[in-house]
Amino acid sequence: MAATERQLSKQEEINSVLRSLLEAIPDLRGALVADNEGLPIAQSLPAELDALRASAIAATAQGLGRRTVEMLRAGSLTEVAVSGTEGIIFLYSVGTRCVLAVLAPGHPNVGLIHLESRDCAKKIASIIG
Amino acid sequence: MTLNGLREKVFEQFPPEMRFTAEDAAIIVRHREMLLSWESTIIKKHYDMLYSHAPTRQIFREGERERLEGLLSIWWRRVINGPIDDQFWNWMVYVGLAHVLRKVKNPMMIAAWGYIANNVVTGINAEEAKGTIHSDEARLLVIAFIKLGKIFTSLVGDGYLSGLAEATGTNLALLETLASQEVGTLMERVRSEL
Repeated sequence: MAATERQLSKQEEINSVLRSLLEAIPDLRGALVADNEGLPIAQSLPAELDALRASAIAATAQGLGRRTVEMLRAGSLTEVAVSGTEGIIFLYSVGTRCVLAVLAPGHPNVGLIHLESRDCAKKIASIIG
Repeated sequence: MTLNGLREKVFEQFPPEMRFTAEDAAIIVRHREMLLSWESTIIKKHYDMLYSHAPTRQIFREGERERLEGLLSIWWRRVINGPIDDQFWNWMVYVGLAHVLRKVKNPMMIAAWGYIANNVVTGINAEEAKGTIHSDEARLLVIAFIKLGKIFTSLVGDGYLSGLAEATGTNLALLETLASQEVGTLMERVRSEL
């Protein structure tokens, strides 16, 4: 398989994993995967959100979260949660090079979101390799 | 971030015309005796200036001038004697990280180098006027120092910015991605000051 085809196939696989996550929890507002430099890899976001900006800020928050757990001796980062009056954003490490951002409504089923999103992050990490 | 990686990124961005070449190094070495003889004057003037300006003076700790002069002396001799190689340029990136630690801002670093460069150029001009250095050699020597200064201030500057970014959990590439999305709003806000 040519490199471009492999890349395309990976992209499709990641998109499919993201779709499965959103289907499993229909309340979610959207989700994205970005690399540590804030570049978007895959996304399914509401139309009013800009994927480039969302990816960049998600990677920044993830980086700060990673640094925070290091500095405060809380082990390795697993996830970051940022709460607002209209929703909560959960950020999960995808391997060491990427981040999965999950946009939840104001009063979500946090247990279910963690369960599905952690699994989703693992699957994407294995696709990215 | 690695010193090698950062150095390579800076060099990629530098057009070949402004890179420091073997010829640039060679002309410095050809005038080694003259340049080394300026060492104590250049170092004294450098620290006199920094110690007499409040924002730069506050960088320094009590009683460390002699040690810092020693470090600048090592740097000056390395510039003159060489080798100006990857290890030297990596050292300049490392200096950028040390500047984060000591809160040496990039304008301070650039001004400090500018003052050394002024003194070097003034010295070369004086020797040229006395006829101890040919005008072509003088021109090439000035160019060598200009190129050296542009490269190392870029390395120190990028080292400083990368240090700031990485130490706070981000990285320069991520900040650039984020900033490129957001800077338009900032530009809009400050435009009225132009």
